[in-house]
Amino acid sequence: MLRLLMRRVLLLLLLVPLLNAAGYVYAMRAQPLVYDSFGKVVHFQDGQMVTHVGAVEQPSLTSQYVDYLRQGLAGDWGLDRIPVRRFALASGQLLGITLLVVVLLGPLCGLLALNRRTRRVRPSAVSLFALGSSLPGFFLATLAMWLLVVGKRQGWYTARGYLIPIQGMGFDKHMILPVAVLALRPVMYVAGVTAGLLEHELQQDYVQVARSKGLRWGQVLRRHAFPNVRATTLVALGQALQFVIGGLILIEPLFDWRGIGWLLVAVFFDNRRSYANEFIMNEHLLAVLLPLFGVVMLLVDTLPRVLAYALDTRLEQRSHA
Amino acid sequence: MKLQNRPLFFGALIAAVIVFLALFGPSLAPHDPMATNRSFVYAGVSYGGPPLRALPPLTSPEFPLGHDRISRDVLSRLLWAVRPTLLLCGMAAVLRMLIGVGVGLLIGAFGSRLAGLVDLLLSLSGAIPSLLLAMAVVLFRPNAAGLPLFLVALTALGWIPTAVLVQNRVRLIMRSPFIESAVAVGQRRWGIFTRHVMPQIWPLVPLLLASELSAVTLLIAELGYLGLYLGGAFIYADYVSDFGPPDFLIPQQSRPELGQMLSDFFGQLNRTPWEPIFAGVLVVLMLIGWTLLSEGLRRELDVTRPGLWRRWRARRSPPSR
Repeated sequence: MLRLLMRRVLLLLLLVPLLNAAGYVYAMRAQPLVYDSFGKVVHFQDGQMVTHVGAVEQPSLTSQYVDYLRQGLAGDWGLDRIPVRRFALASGQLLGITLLVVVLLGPLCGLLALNRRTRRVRPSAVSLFALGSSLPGFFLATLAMWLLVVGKRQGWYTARGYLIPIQGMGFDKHMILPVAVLALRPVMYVAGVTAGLLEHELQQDYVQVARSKGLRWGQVLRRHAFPNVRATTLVALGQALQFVIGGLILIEPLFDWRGIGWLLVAVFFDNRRSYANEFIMNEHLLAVLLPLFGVVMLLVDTLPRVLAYALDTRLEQRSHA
Repeated sequence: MKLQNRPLFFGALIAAVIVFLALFGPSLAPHDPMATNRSFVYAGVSYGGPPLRALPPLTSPEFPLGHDRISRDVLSRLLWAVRPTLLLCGMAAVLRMLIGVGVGLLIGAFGSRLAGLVDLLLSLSGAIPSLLLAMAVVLFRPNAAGLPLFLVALTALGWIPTAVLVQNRVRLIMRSPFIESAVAVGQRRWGIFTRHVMPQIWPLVPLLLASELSAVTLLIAELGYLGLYLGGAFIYADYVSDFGPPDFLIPQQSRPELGQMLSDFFGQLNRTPWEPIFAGVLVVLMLIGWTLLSEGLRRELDVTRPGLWRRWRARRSPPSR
């Protein structure tokens, strides 16, 4: 476990400066896809629209990056006007609830998918997991939003408004749709992995012996089969949580949830909303957002893995072998 | 006959339908996918481009899936769209698989020192969402985003998990007792590799291809939803009055492609929400097909399950005495 932790810490130390430099250089070099009203591509420099690129003599990219780092180390990362912490907090709320749903529902669905008699995964569950893992979150979200809009127009629900808010932020019913959409695919993935692992485990001789001794289905699962798959399920859970974080890029702009995913899309696209233009290809912002995303992705993979190694030492031995 | 491997059967069935649509869809299309029907009259009601209403689905037998927002036949566009999407998916999936299998085989067999590098790449790739990287690659030079750039965007990270899987499998085989025996009888390393290792890797190829197809299709759909798709665009202009500037300017993609048909859902929500919904259903069908095919092949290759191939071989082999 110590080896894994050391490797991950080293990776983190490598990843943060790498992604910071990549974000800065990318934003400086890329051409944003923004058109003016005459269909011409508009260029941005330091968040400002410019008509003639290269008309002003610019210092080299390396010296600009060195200056940026120097200012950053002095405490000025160029993000005074952008409340990154507030965006991160909004994403954190959404992620926290989604992770909770995935952790609770994923393994539970996996357990329920097993047939007691055959000790195999039910064919209907296999189809359900395949369907759930195949449904892209953005499509599910747009379908749900469209249905709510149609329902409102048809007068299916009261004049007070939508049944569930289709856009906006809030630690209330605004979370229902984004959490459901973000959690569906990871829940189905974890359920599929758990069911598959349990199916394999339930075919083993020791389970046969336990059954022949008269142990009930629940006891066999709880005492014998599940402890053997718990660690691997945790690793799968880490991967599923990476899906959730990757999904933020699409789901947050869709629901207008002003979090890190929304901010990242605003950096890449001109979505012509309120103050989005100051974000587009903003090198200071991209240089912070990319490492932030990378660190969170790495952490959600590492923590379940460490926990898995602590729970089942065989995993560590296998990985060394 | 009882169907033992349902995921394989239904996955293969859906894949066959998709391939059939890709091959013969354009021939089956009842109308030109590019032709606009600006003044279509059915049952005394005029339908057409803005400001007229768009023809909804299941209204006219001539256009069963209705018109898109500039009055093109949605059914014909869907039938034409499968081919370019499947071609792009196929190319990217094959490329990912070839690189992954090639690197995995080489490192598994000859480069145990390089294995750490692939593991490092895997960890790094886990820290960057594939959609984010694909988006960044395509948007780096959006005006020059052609097939090569899209292939780079879709392949950049996807080959790494395949390489790790193949490498681990090869290393496992290389530690088997029969390899030790082959070394003991004086077989050369290359001979052992081609005669004993490669034949055990080939059965994995269809499984890997199916899962790569699933991953690539999802990525293409997500990119399309964000408005990043293959092919150029044109501006559709419609005049309400006979003189002056056009009243409606709508950017439209020239050739139908599923990613493009999914884009701009909110722009179409009021006028033609059915177009992205039909395209989304087709994408989901493709994803379910690939996922079921991959799961079915995994089950078929699982030696602990009573697979179709093993039952057939067991029937053909003479009974043991």
